[in-house]
Amino acid sequence: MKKIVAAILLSWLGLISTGANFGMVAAETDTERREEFVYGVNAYNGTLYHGVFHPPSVDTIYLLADKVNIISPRKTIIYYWAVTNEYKADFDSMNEDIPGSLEIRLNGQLVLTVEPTDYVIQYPEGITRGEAEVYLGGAAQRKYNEWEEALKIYRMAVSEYYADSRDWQTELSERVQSGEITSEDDVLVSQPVRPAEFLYSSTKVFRGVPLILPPGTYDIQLRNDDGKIVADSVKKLVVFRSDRVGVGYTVIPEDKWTTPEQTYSPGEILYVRTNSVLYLEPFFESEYNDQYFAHLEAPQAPLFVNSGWTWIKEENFKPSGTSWQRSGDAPDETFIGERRPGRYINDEGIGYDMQVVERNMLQESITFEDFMVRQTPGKALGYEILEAMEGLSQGMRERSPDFSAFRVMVRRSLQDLGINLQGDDGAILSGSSRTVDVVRESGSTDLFLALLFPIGLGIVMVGYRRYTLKRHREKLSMAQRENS
Amino acid sequence: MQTAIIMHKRDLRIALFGPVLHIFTTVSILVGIVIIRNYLSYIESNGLYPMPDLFSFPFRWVIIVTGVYIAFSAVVAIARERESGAMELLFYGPVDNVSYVIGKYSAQFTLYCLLIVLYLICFLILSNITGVQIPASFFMMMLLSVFTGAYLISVGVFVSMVSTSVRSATLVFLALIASTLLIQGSQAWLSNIAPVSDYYNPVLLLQQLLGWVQIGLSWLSPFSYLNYGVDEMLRGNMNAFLRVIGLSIVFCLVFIVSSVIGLKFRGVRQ
Repeated sequence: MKKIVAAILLSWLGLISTGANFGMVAAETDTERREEFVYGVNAYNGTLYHGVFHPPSVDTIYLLADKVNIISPRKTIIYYWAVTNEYKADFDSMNEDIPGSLEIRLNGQLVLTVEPTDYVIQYPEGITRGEAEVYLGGAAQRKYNEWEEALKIYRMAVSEYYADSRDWQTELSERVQSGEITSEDDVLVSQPVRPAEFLYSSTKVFRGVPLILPPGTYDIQLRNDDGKIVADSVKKLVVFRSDRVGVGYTVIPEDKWTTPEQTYSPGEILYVRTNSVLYLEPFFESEYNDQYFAHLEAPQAPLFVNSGWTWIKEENFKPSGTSWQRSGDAPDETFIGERRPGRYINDEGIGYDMQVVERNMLQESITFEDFMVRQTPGKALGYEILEAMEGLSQGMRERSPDFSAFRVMVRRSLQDLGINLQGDDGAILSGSSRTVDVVRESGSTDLFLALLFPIGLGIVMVGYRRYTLKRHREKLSMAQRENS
Repeated sequence: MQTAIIMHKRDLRIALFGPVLHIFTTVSILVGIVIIRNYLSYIESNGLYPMPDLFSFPFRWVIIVTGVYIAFSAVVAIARERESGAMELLFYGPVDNVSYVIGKYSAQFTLYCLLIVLYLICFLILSNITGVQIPASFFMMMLLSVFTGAYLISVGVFVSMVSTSVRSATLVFLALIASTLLIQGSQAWLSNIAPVSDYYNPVLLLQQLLGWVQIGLSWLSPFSYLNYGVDEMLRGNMNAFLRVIGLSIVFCLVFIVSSVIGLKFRGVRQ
């Protein structure tokens, strides 16, 4: 045993002393700035494009499959930043395109050679509000020019708005002084309207290699115009897709509006108090390998030991109609889910209601509604959640609703409760089901009653043993007495 | 085989009618109840708690504590028999290496299975008190725990078969268990330590070393198997669940065979 322990210790020490490569170690304090070849990557993360760079110390690039991702071979200045324990790039000082073609190999076979091209990434509805669009080649410059034109028009509109506002203020002051203002309407009618927020977003026109690849583990390298492989350009490329897609919910308890919980996994159970009201906001989600997804967004993150799975929240379901209608007789919002191809969700353009099912029997069908939150009047803290129309009718300021959700009342009598989203076509949206378990109010001491069973069993078993032993001893002593 | 059955019955009777087992099961369930109580308090104050199964985590702790106890009692019982000379006496009779190992192992494993049934009854009582449903995944987890527990007990039997004394067997087994559990927890704990210095992260090397050790452990530790199997089963990945059961059986057999070989080489004398 001692020999085995000694051998393990020796091999352990040997492993450390030989400088086994455990990545960047604590003692690394290399602050030197130096020119290096790096890959700048605009990686799609399911919601938006995430810009990262891969220094020579990172040997693997992670990308989502079947999406446009951009890899840009660059020469830049990098330096080690010990505070965050990673290399940083100074692209302002140097950001040199490296010409050449990117070679992609699968199992040693060359499968693709791609040349760099111009690209631009745009979010017409705003970042995080809508789908990203990537334009390549000539379209990139054209779309960038369109964006610049739109921005110019917006700036002019804002400039006009400020000018009009100044004029209006001046005119208003003059009219107030001369006694021409007789009612509130006289003021409001002529007030200039601020232009809608400019959400349209765009990157500059950059140069990079666009890649759309199926899942797999590839090897990439950059071959320059002389036909040579650029130093530090050889890397592994892991292209992956989500393992599952589903529907998550942000669950807002009525009395805890500010502290919602989120449920990601379709198999999860919502444990709730009796007689509570919940608001469920559905959102799309995808489940990825934890390691892969983390390194897609942070290439220099340490390697995980036990990589599990992680659900990533994507965009919220949107009610039909792009804007909130403030007029009194707005029609009920129809809930339109935007599905995408996947293992569980594969339909398109269907409206959904939430079904509340008790013991496989439909209890009620709930529609998607807008809600407004009102601070409780007076000094006492608190708030109340009202349906948007009700809020407006009670004199709340006209504004966009605070949130849109399905309102579910969980009564004490309900048992074996389930919720799911059912489409207009009657099909249940896979991945949207959850079980709701109403937890009974029980005193904490009640739980300890369960201990009585093992204690009682123990007493019976040990007592029986002592009793039989006693009987046995008595028999033995009786036998001894009889024999003597 | 008859010898193994006799040894099995004898060891089982000693354990079942002794007080220590019942104290331990009570403590194990107490641990589970405390965890459940914390969950319920959270639900009561927050109104809501989404999770795969409220009883899953408490049950895992109960079963881990129990598994460690059963394996440890096997270690001590076997090592003590050798140290006291009882093992040598048994081997003068019809007992051989195989029947001894199988008899000892099967007694502890049967005990473990009986305790799982006991815990099932206790959790059903808790379910009734709290109104919390027991989902099908809970029963799958119980099934998995039978196999991972079988593997853990076989490790205990192996350690005692090759050890020289009660003290060394106890130390080795406890060191194995403690390091396995501590390394699993400490890696996550170290990951949460932010770099305190402007120049370097002092625990980075330790984090990475523990990381590599944990990779090895994930292939060997029955606790890792239990956690991994349950997680994958909750994800609906039944292939991984069955793979964990298969690996647990294979490792269990490997350690039982190693115990027989170990006993043959180590001998029955003190």
